Amino acid sequence: MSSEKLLDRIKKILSEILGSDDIPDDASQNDFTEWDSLAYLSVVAQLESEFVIEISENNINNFGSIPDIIKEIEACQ
Amino acid sequence: MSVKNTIADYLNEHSESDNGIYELDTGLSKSYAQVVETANIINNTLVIGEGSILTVVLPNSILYVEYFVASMLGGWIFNPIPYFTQVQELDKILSYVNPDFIITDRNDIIKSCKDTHKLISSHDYLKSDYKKIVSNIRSDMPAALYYSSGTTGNPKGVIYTHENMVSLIGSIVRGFKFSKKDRQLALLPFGHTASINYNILPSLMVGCDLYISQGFEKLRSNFFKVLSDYKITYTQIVPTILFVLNKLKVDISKIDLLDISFIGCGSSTLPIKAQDEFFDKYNIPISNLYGLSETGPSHIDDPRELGWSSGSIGQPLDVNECKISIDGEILLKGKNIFHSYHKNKKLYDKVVEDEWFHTGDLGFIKEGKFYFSDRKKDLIILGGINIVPMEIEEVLYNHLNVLECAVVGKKNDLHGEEIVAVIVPRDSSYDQKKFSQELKKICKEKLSSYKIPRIIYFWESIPKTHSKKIMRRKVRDEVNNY
Repeated sequence: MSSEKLLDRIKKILSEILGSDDIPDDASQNDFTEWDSLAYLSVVAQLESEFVIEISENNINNFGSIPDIIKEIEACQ
Repeated sequence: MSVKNTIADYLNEHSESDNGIYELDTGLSKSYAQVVETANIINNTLVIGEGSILTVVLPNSILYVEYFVASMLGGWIFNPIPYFTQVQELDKILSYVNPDFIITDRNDIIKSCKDTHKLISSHDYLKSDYKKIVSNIRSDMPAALYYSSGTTGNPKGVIYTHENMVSLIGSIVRGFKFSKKDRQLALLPFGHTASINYNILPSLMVGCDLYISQGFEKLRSNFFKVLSDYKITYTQIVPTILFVLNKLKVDISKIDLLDISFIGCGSSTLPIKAQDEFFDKYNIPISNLYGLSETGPSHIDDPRELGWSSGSIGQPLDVNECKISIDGEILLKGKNIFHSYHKNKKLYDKVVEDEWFHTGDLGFIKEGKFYFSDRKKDLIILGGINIVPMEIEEVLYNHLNVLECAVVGKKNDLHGEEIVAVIVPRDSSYDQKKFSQELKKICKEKLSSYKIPRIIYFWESIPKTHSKKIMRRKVRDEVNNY
């Protein structure tokens, strides 16, 4: 998958969960009050459903920004 | 034996014990003797009269519990508010509750309320020395005011007396078989009644160790290790956390989880599949918790019972009776039924008839066990948090292009439900994308983030009854089939 396509898919997930159409490429939890602990769990669960990634105790805290999410997805491929 | 009118009276009996409270995130710990001492110091420092309302907006902490105990000793009315409530929303709550004092460590609240309310800094108590309070609190005095948005959009405050509280917590202790030997873990927000009723107050009553975390986000990477390291015997979660734990790849083969007999899970509908999946994966049963702000927990679903199976909410706790009305509503009667609604006797008279509290929930009995089936009320339950559709609709109507709107819940695997707004525009030629953005912006300004509708649909009309009332259930069904 091209990196642009991956980015678009992640942004689409975040857009749906955070209810915002304006998701920058480097969006992180610090930029969105909507990205609270509940939304965080939604993001993790949605990523797990859409991509071939494994959520474990080692990586569950690594999904707080788009760059970190990309790193995790790429590490699992 | 001395008369025990309040939970603080029970706690006093444990002041010689080594047990106490531990903050997992900071490492801070205090024995119950120290907690009682600080609660007395708070009372000596703050000039707050009996019957005064103390609104508390603090994170999960030992200090939170100390203020709760101080409140019991002083005869104040404890009014817990979820820590992350947005300032604008808090303004609305405060204008209804009209507290005598507010205690918080949040700068935005302090800034917003400093000219309108009496504020207490969370560490003001340090100014005084210890002097034991001679507490003479009667059991019929109000102990707590649990705020809720109400089912009609009008706020409601549930007044709970010390008798309500002591009766309920005593029954929970018996029903859940809590004892001094337990080690409880409290991780849900203290501003909601679930942590208060299942974790904090039972721990104070029996004097068992209470471990506090500021939230599941602090335990995501080591939840099972914490259960094992601290030999936790009871904790509780919400279905959203359960779903994530079910997805988590974790090796528990080298972890000792023998101390925990079961985990409680409630605040929103618990799917049997998720309950069973968790047991299959971790060999820890999940108890289905049921209760309301007006009654506290009313049932015990005890997985330790012979022949237990998942799905039901179990049996009524011994503090109350439960029956199902002809139209299928769950009714409760007992000393746990709240005393009154703050400033709203009319509403109390509507929901309590001949001492039976009408829960607004539908249920049934099968083979001697009680089951929750659906809500009669229009609440949306997202991740265990009750959300009142009318509160969001009120905000949406601030947009001039909203002719009509209805907010409903759409089923969501993770959170139980997500918020959907159905809008009938005045001008249907208005750009929908721009319109959606503007509606979300208005919501963001006025509501806490979790109340912002995730999905917005534009319809030509909303189904209504002959009397022009929105058929919310029909809207909900249509949205769920969309």
